Amino acid sequence: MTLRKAPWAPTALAAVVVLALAGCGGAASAQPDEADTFVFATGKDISCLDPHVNGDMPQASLAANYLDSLVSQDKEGKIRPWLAESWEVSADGLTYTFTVRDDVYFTDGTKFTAEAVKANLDHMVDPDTQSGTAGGYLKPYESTEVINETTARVTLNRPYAAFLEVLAQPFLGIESPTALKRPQAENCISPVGTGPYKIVDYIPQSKVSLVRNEDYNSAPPFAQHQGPAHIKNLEWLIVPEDSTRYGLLRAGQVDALDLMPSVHFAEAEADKKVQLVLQDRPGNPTNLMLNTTRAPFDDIKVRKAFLHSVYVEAGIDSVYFGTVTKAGGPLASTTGFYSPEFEDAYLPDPVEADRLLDEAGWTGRDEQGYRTKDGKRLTVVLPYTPAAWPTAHAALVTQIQASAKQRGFDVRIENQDFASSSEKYNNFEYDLRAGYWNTNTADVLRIVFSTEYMKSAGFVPNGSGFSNKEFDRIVNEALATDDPDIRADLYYRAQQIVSENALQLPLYNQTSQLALRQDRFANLTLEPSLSLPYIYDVTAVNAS
Amino acid sequence: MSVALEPTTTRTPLPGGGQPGNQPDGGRGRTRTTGLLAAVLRGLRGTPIGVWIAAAVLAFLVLAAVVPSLLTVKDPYIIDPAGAFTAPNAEHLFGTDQNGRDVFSRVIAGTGQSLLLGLAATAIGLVLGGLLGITAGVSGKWLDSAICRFVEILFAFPGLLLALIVIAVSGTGVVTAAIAVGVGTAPGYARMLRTQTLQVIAAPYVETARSLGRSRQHILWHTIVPNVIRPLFVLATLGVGQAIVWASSLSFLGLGAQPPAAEWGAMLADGRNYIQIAWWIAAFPGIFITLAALTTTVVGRHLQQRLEAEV
Repeated sequence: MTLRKAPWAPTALAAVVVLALAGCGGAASAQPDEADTFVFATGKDISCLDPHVNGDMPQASLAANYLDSLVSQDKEGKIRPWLAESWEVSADGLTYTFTVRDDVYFTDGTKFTAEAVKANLDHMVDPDTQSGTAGGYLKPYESTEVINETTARVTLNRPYAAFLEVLAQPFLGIESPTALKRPQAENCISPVGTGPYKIVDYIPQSKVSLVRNEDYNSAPPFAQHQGPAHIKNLEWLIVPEDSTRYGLLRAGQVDALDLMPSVHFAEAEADKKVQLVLQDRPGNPTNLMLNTTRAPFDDIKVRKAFLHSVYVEAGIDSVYFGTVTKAGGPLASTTGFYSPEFEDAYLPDPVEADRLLDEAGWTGRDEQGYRTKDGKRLTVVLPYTPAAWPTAHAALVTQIQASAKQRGFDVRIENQDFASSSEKYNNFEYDLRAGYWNTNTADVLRIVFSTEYMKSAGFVPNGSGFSNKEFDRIVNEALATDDPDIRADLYYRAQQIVSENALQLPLYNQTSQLALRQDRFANLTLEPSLSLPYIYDVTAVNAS
Repeated sequence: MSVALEPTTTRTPLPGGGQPGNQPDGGRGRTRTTGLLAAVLRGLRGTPIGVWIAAAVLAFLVLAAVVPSLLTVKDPYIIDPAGAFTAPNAEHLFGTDQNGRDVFSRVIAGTGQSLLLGLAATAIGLVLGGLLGITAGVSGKWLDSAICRFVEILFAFPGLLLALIVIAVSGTGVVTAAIAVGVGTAPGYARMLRTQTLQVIAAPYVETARSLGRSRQHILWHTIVPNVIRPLFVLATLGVGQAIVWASSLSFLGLGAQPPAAEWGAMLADGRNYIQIAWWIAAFPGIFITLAALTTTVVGRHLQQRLEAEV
């Protein structure tokens, strides 16, 4: 966490870094043999390289390239072996016995064993790790027993049908137990895995340098080859500035990027040198969470009025240029058990919004046209970190602010750095909070809306502070059964409760948007669990 | 403060005086107000054309700041997603931004905020710097060296970094930005004013006041302070330009004005990612920041030269 302590640093330094990059060009491209080095530019800063800590998408993106997981998921969503060769689940769903490979070594020389499985799972649930994502997924985790060097028995405190799915995510990648014993600050800058690359250098807010693991022998079933990666060096640049990142790709100083800026989509599509790799992601779509734990959004009428006040679709069309799809309900349309029925639950409706606000007692108007009640203005605060979002998102939020103003809401967008906004998020000191949750199961509903996720080490997933016994029962019941019909029914009811309670303003579906210089490299694929860039299979294009 | 300055009547100008604007009232028996006015009026004669142009542009900016409604009737905050990214045309002189807002009316609306921020920050910087500098100058001995060391420590930080530290501690916003920039510029003013104070103290008219039996308090407030702060008006004019640039920088970094505020730095930051498809979103706020900084500097420097030529 030390990396995040200088509160002003992320934005200011990011700007400086970007200027430096723009000025002198990527040093990486000056390598003697360019085909030996793949330069990837990521658009969101990384707080700690270890994906167990916190757990934000940029951490998982990088982790997918230097960590292996216990199990893997194929493109059809089926769970397959990886570091675990096989596993058995007890009849009550509470015990998972994994048989793991005994020929795999971490890049620090440590042997991968059942002991490493225990060390990793224990590390993720340790409150000191501050693991919002991995730790959040493992709330049903009880303990791991090491039976012998290749057998680990994991005990859960309740049935958890999504357990193997989340284990396949890079957030739960397996790290060297030797490396995990170091202080967190150290592990954050040099985590060690068994993966196809290993981290050799890290300059915060600038770049991570990785080299190929020459002894790699544990490629997952979804990979297209075995043995070491094709490309020797991997440079992972951090370039939050949208136009700079895209400019570096056009100029040939980076070979691929993520968070492809929507404003340049048309140009990139027309460019023969550039290939776009696109994939919608399942989970809870990009949204604004409404904090139900304090006024004014503790009043359901005000929440509903807010959802009816804003024009999201027009904003998406204008600033995203049709590169993302409008989200409707609490689940992204690519998620299992998604129901389209809640897509149009809160269409823009000024008359209804006004009626609800009048009913809720916000009948006064101040000199600036905002609604008031007992002399207090209808203010909703949105702490916002511009560096964490694409340019278009910031524009969209501004448009939401403007359309809510028409109905009398004073939406205050308060720009701040990561550290300040996370602190507010964890203490429910906001009315609106921008978020999303990418995951491969409908169990995301339990994580984003159930009572037990109102508190968490790391960050709080349940940002609306929603606590409803009936809902909690439904989403936990859905984990205890394998019957798809029963699960479909339970998840339908869960979506219904979320929609009825007006907990989120859904914006657009999360999507992986990568661009690759196909004149130089080919075969940039997405790892299937979270659709993250997977460099292992990338090959250089022969110039001749 | 129309205090008649008896002691100045016996004053002889100091020799040298290479320090810009460090000469107090010319000692011709006028009050300071009329002295300054006369200096400005005399400055108008034989003024280079560049200064005239700068003054005209500055006057335009002041007009935009005071009565923006005179220049534009459009609401700078009305969004129109369908009309986003419209190139400059007759209806939208500077085009529209990513939210379909009129860039011209936003630039005009931003003038008031930017100029006010610049003025407020300069005022804060001058007051803080003045307190430190004059205190150091008149107190001597250990307090003087304590303040000097303190100011030197502050000098170790680039001014903008100092401003960022203030923001890190007190949070973002326009008011904090003004304070932050003010604090950032204070060490410079403190050092100049200390030197100025030392020179005034050594001047014969202070000696005279002392020999006339005036109290220390009286000499401080009626002789030293007025003569020290007079050149400040010129310093301030020069400082406003710098303060505007710094305040814009803070807003550019998202630390000053908050959305949807029409502030030049924030608009520049908004527009930079669209520069390839819609150059006008970033270009016009950028031009106005440059204009504000250039014109205040040209006019300020001219005033400074006139004042120096005076003595």
